[in-house]
Formats: sequence, structure tokens, C-alpha cells
Amino acid sequence: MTENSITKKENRQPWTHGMESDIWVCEAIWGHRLKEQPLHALLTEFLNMAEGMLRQKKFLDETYPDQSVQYNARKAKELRIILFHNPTLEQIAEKDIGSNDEAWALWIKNIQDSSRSTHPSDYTYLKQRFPKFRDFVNRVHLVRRSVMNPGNNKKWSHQLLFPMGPSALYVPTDDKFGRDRTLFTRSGEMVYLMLSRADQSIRDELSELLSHKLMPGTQKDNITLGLLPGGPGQFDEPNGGTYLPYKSHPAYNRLAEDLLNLAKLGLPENDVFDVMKHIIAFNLYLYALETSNHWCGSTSPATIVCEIINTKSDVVRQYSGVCKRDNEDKALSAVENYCNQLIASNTILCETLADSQQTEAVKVASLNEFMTSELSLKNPITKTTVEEYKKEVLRLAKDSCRRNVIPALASLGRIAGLTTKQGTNRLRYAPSDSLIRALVLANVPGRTEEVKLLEKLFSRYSIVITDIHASKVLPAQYVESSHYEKNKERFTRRLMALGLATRMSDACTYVVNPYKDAI
Amino acid sequence: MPNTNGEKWIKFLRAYGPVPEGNSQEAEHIEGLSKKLGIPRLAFPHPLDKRFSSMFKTAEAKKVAVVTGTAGDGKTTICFELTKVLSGNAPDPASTSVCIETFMTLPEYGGEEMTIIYDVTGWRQKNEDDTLIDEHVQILENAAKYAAGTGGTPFLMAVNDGQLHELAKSLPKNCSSQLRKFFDELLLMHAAAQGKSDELPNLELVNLSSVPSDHLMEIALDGILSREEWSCLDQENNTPLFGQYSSVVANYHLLKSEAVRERLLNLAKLADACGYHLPMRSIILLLVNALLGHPGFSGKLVKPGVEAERNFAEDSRYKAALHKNIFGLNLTKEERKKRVLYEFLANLRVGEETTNDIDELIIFGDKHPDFKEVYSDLVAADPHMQRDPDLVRKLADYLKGEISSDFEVQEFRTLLCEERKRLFLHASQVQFETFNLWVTCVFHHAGHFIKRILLPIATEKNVDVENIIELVAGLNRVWTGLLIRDDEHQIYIATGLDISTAPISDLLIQKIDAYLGQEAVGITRRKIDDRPEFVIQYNGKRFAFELTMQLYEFLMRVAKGAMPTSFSSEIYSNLQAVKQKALRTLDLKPNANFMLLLDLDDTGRVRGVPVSLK
Repeated sequence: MTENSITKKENRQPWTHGMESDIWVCEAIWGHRLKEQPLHALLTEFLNMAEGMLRQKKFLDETYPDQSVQYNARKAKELRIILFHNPTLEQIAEKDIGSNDEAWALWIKNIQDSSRSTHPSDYTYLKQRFPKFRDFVNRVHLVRRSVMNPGNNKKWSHQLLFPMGPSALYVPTDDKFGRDRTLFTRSGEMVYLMLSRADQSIRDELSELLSHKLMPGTQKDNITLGLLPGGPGQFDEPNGGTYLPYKSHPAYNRLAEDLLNLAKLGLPENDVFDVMKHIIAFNLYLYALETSNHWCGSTSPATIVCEIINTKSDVVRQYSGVCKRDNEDKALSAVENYCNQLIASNTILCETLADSQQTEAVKVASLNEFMTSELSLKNPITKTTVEEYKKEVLRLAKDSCRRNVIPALASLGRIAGLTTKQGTNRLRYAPSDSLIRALVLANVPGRTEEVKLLEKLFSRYSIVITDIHASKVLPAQYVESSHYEKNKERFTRRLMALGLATRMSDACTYVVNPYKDAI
Repeated sequence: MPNTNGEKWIKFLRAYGPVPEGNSQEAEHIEGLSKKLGIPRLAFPHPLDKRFSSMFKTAEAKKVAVVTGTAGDGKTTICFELTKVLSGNAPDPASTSVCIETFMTLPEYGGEEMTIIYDVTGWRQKNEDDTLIDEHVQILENAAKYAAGTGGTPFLMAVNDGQLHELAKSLPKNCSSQLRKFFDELLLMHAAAQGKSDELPNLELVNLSSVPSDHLMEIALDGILSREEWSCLDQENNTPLFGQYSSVVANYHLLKSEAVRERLLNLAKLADACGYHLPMRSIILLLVNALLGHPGFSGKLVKPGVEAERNFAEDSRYKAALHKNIFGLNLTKEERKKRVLYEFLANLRVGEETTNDIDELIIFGDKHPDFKEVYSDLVAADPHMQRDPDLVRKLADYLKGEISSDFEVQEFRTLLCEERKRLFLHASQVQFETFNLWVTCVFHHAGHFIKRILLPIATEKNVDVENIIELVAGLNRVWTGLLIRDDEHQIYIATGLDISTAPISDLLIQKIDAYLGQEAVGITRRKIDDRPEFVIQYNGKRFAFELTMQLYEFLMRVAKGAMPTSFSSEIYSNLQAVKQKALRTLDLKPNANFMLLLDLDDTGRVRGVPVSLK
């Protein structure tokens, strides 16, 4: 274990608030929990927690791994029934059913009848706010336009609104408003916890800038607020219990600095969230890879060789695919190392296992007692030898990793816009325009030379685009200078096409952050 | 070995073209050839001569100047010329070989020591830690002192913009803070396209790439075509090289025509408007290739001797037609790809856009009575036999329905493209405007852009409000997602419910009226680089964005109904970023208690639906 490894015991605190998984290995390594999540859900889960903490006046206060950070979030039942489970609205609006009062009466009866089983509520407050039924219908249509990822969510109870203000933030549920962790998988809450452990100076600044985006009272917030009932009971979903194992981690400041740089751009309204979502997913992906690396004995971040989309295959494409698989598969080695280190950390157990006087049954019993407690094993392991027992634990842990962490990594890479299959049948690192744009916005303070940006992308995220960086970190057979030169040329052209670069000559290109006037 | 003056001239000119030997326009190669053939090098008056005169050519004006620019802009040539003038002697070959010379200026220019660095590339010697050696640092220290007005000596340095950054990085840690400040200031000036320093009184930065490409094109056209060596066309017209079937003769006369000149100048203007600067070296290469290009010769350029005799034995001028050579079609695809100039021309897709009117004229013109006169003036007129004879045969086959295989279709299309290119280049100005031949390239509105935007701002005149309103219609389409048919003089600044750049942004924040004139909405000349910028002003705040050719074309097309995302999704997203910046800079924020929702009726008339949010 190297000096600055995150895996050092003093940098970790165990979770003592209930372990939900069958085997607590992946959670102990990456947190509870890293799981596949759509991009919009990752963003809104993070913002729900952020807004909840803001209301408690604890926004971006420092947190610790063993602390169960709690917050209350909205279920916004009435709002969601009105927006997404309201089949008769259009029928009543389209039919000429007489007076305004009649339309209201019919709609209120229908909605109360249809939602009685899920959420009996009084909707007459809407009639007071919208004397004309048509105005109400228009408002519903308007708010529906801000649904994120429209068409991709089959369940009405999973529909989420763009975070245009706090009134548009709520947690998804099942159809009966019960707890549902399939869309909010806790990864968004992990993002919040990561930020809460960044350096205080960054947190202070970020808190100041993001608070304004999460405050009520803006025009767009009022648009949604008009559909919500007033009074207490709005924040009816206690949330929390998310675990992030490390007190400090290089990814925390990196994420916080990136978000701070984006927040400082001063984009109008809440536009910044649209850019932040890519940076959040990208940084979470890097956090996971870097964590795997640390558990595998290396403190250097994972190398990300990026192909800038090419029409044909070359060395860059080949290695960007290889590199992606290697990086993500390292999670399995991390699991193995974690299990081995866990046993090695208990000297009494090690002595027992090494004691030739002890029977195998005693050794297995000791091991079982320790592992059941440490890994919170839900199902008993019935093996007769220590080796078999260890193998079985490892098998279970790796299965869990294959089921949860590796798909989560693949998903994070994809939603961040870092990986694609475009032009091939295998995933590789090839950043999308959205991610390139977000990286430029987060890393270019006004105007900078392209080589400096490339250097920063390499030193900060280990992103390799040019031959200079490739030759520093890659095996010689994967460094074909001419291919990397062309890759860099494609990068320049992408930047220019995106309006993010000005080429002065073959030898000099300036990358420009279009939102920064200062040079 | 060439024998006649004409042959020598062609051999000499070849050295400026895209010759395969790789030493195209290399100073030493051309110098050697010039001496050997007894032909002076191509030389042009530089548009910045006056600026250099004021900077150096008086006793009082003592400046530290850094000359930068794209490769091929002529940095080293300018330094050579200045050395000659300021010292009264030609540059010393021993000094030029190491790329640096120190001399005493003539008394009328101050009579003091001055250092000129011809090319920083020569400073290859570095310390182990990749920093500059002491000798070079000392030279720069002197320059920095002089720039700050605290001693040192006058100084001139030619450096391309990439090297300027490299040089700044190579300064050793122990160099003076004055030298660091000198480079910090230079880099700031470079990035901001600033000519004079605000901080250092004697420092100037001359970026040769800031000279408009059409000025350079004009100078190059005049400089090359007016050379007396062209008298060979008359004196040697009995030789195959300059005979009746010679492509050189045809291309020379065509290049001298008003129409082609006008077209080339416009293409150069477009290059700048699209963000491609054309350095002098590239322009010379373009013109030499236009004159000498021929796919039948080795190196794809006309060569005196047996090859000329063979290629010009019969009329094959169409093979080396000017409209093909201008676009580099005599060269291989790989050779074209190596040069930014041909890449720019290829991106224009001249002749590749299908147009009903022109295609009808080409295909049916000689048969249809309504077209015959126009056809005879525009299409059939071809005194220099530039038209591919194969096209006539293929047209007949096409009309008989005998073109069916993919190969034949492709061949026919290629011929049609080339014919459109020919018309694009050869049409007289009147014909060009009558048929709006810009529609044969990707920028259908390039003519408007040049005439209605570039021309007025270059002559410091106001752009007509009608032109501004057309752009406002385009902006409204992109920024609201609505095809607003009335109130076209109003810029509707509206946002979406989620993000401000939502495809449908109908929550109105502000309307700004273009009829309020230059005060509110206008197109003006940007001070730093003379490019056009679109300006919106509101409530004492000003927002501007560069109006490039690409943006103009995009806005004009969407104003006329094209779907914003179908033409170019990149320009669309760039314009959305411009909108975000406008909202921020103009500090436009929606009212928290009241909202106006934009709605269009069936005729495209806009109405605001008020919504109370209290």
C-alpha cells in the first residue's frame, strides 16, 4: 500500500447503519452504492439531496463516511398525478362540456376517483388558483414540456422534471407512491457526499453559487409551484443512508472544482445543470476507476485513451477499446485484493488459519464468523475447507461486482458521453461533443492554447489524445505517432466545429470558453 | 535545361507551385533557381509596409517588434527587407544561416545597434532542462529592457504563433521578471489580436495573418500576371509550350479576365469570413497551379521539353482547365488534403450543389427555344475550350435515357459538377448575379454577405436595416423555435421551461426592436480584426457576436424556413451558446410573477398569452 493510497485504514470508516446487500464488498470499496442509473436520474437525485440539505441549512457541510446523512425530499404526489396520471384532462378540455365550473367539477371527480387508491387528496385548491379550466390545462401542458428524457420512461411514477427550481424536484416512487430505488439508485447521493468531502474553500464557493439555483421564487419555479398544494407535508420522504467509504479521495476535489468552474460561468437560469450532468457522470466514473486502481496497488488514475471519432479503425481506436475493458475489469481485481486484505488485517484470524494444531473445521468456523460479520453475509456459506470458503466468498463478491459495479461503470461511461460503439460493435473511449464541450467549459478559463488544454486533460483526468501523452503511459506497440497526430487533428477540428477553438496556424490553436470574456 | 526565356519562366514558376519534390517555395531553392535562370524572384509590396516604415524607418521610431503569422505569410522575407533598408546592406549570409543578425542602423534610422531574429526555428540549441541557452536569453533580456524603455537595444523577431508560446515556456527560471512580463504581454496581445502594448511603451506585435486574404490575392494576381516574362506568350507562340493548344496560354488569359479575378477575390473574402486565413505562399501556390496545372505532366504541372510537346500536340486544354486547376483537381486527393487552401475550397463544394435553373440550362439549353440565347452567352461561350467534350456526349446519352449503371451516373454527375464549376468561375459579374451562381456552392447567400455586409462595413457605411431584419428573422427561428411571420423587426428573446436553449423557447423575456437602429440591433465592424459583428444592445448593455459566413448562411436559410437542426447541428448549438451569453451579458431575467407565453396563429402571427404566476 503506498503512502497516499485511499485504502489506508485511517482514510476509511466502516458503515454501521445497516448493510443492505448480500455481501458487503463492492459497497465497502466503491460505496453504497454504485449502480446503473440514467443520466437525468443521476443529476436529479444529486439535486434532491442538495436541495434537502440546503433546507436543513447544512448544504455542503462536511460529512464523514460513518455518518448516515439524512434529508427530506418531496414525493410531490399531487403534482405527479396531475402531470402524468391524469388521462381525462385532455378529454374534458377537448369536449365542450358546458361551463367552466362543470369542467372543474368533472375533472376533480375523475382525478379523485382514479387516484383514491394511491393518494386520496383534495384537488380543489387548483380551482381556486386557476379560475379558468383552460388555464389549468395550459399550465399542465407547459410543465409537461420540461420532462427529462421524455419517451424513455415507461412508468408514469418515474417521470422526472428538469430541475428548474426546488418545486420540480421530487423522488421517483412505485405506482402507489411506495419506496422505489430502481431509478434513484443512490449514485446521485454519492455525488453529493463526494462534494461534501472536498476542501472547504471549494465547498464554500460552490455552496454559495449553487444555493441560488435551488432557491424558490424564480419564474420557472413558480410555474410548477402553482400546481403543488401548499401547507405542510410536502417533504414527506425521508432519505439517506448512503455510504461513501473514504474521508478523502482525489476525485472529491476534482469533481468539486469542475462543478465550481461550471457554476462560475454564470449561465442563465438553471442551464448549468444541463452541462453539469455530463461532468458529474464523468467524474463519478473516474472515481470508480481510480478507486479500483488504489485497491490494486496503484495510486495513479486510470489512463483514458480517447479516440476522437474516426471513420476507420487505427491504433487509437484499438487501444481505446482495450483500455476501457482493462480499466473496468480492474474492479474484479480490486474485489479480490479487498477480500485478501480484509483477512490479512485480522491478526488473530490469520494466526488461527496458520495454526497447524487447529482442525480445518475450527479454521472455517473462525473465518465464517469473521466474514459473516465484516461482509454482512446474508446467506450462510457451507464449505469444509478454508480454501473453498475463501473461493466461495470471492465468487460471491465478484458476482456482485459483475452484477452491479461493472454494469454501473459501463453505464456511467456511456451516459457521461465518454464511451460509444459508433462505427464498431464494441464500446471504446470516444468522447461525445457534449462531453468535450463540458470539459472545455470546466477547464478553460477564457482562452488557452490547445496544447495546454491537452496537457490539463492528461494531468487532471489522464485523458490521452496525443502521441506525447500516449508515449508516456502506453506500451510501445500502441504508440503509433502518426495515428495519434491525426487523432489530435480531429480533436482540433471538433473543437473548431463546436465553436470552441480558433486556429491561428498549423502550430497554434486557441481553445476558447465561449462564456468567458476574460483572456 | 530550358533554352528559351519562356521555358525558363515556366521552370521558374513551377518552383512556386505544388511541386512533388517537397521544396515548393523554399527560399534557398528559389534563390538558387533565380540566379541560375536569371529571373528575379516574385516580389510583392506588402500591405503592412507603411506600418513597418512608421515602426522603424525614422530616427525617433525605435520599437521592439515581434512579427508573427501563419507559415507562408512572409515573416522572414519582411525581416530580410528591413535589414537591407535599415543597415544599408544585404543580410549577411553567415548571420542568416544562424537566423540572427546584429548590425548598426544607418544614421537616419537612429545609428544604433539593432538585432533581428529572422526565424526562431534556428534557436535549436537548448539547455538540458529544455530552457533557452544564456546567449539567447541575453538577447531577449535586451529586447525586454528596450520594450519597457529602460535600456537595451531595438529588436525585431520573426516567430510563428506556435513558437511564440514555445519560447515563453523555454524561459529559464532565473530570467528577469522584466523578460517574463515581456512574454506575458506578448501572449496577451497575440490572443487579443492587439497590435500595441498598453503596458510596454516600445512593444508592437505585427500579426501578418491579420491582413485580409483578398488584399493578398489582389497583390499576388497583379504581381504574377504583370511580370514581363509573360511576353513569351507572344514571342514563342509558335512552340507547343505557348501554342494554340497550350493550357498555359488559355489559363493565363482566363486568369487575367475580370470575371475570374472578381471570383477569386470573393473566394478570398469568403475564406476570411469562414475563419481560414490564406497566407501569401498559399495564394501564390494556388495561382501557379491554376496557370501550370495539368494532369498529363509529371508533377501535375506543365514542364518545358518533350512532355510539353507530347501533351500539347493536340487540343487538350479542357484537361487542364482553369476551373479544375483552381480547385486543385489536377492533383491527387492526398496532395490536396495536405493543403488547408484546397481543403477550404473543397468545403465550399463549388459546383456540387444541385440547382434546377442551372442544371436545366446545361442539359436542355441548346434545345429549348426559351433558353437558347442565355445558353449561348453563358454555357456555349467557351473561347478557351475549357468545357469537357465528354459532357456533350454524356448529355446526349442522358437525354436518351442511356445512363443507367452506377458508374455512368457517377461519371455524369462529376461532369455536371465540373461544368457548374466552370460557369461559377467564368460567368461575367452580370451573369453571375442574374443566375445567382452562389447557389452552386454551399453558401447560397455568399453574394449577399459580401455585398450587403462585408462591403458596407469595410467602407464604414451602415448595413441596411432590411438586411438586419432578415437576420433577426433567422435568430428568432433559432432562439424561439418558432417561425414568426410578423413583427420580424423584433428580436424575441425567450427561454424554454427547462433550459434557456430549449428547441421550443416560448417564455418571452424581452423583445428588442431592430427599428430602433444602431442603438439596439446592428452589424458593425469589430475593432480588433475588422470582421463583422452582430450587436444587440439593451438597457445600456451591449452584446456582440462575430457574424461569420457560416452563421450568416445558417440564419438566412432558417429565416426562409429551413429546419434549424437539419442544416447544421453544430452551428445551431453554437447559436444557442450565443443566446445563453446574450441573456447573461444583457442581464435579461424573466419576471417571477408574470409570464408571457409566445403562441403563433395559423398565419405565423405571434401573440403573447399572459400567465399570472402569483
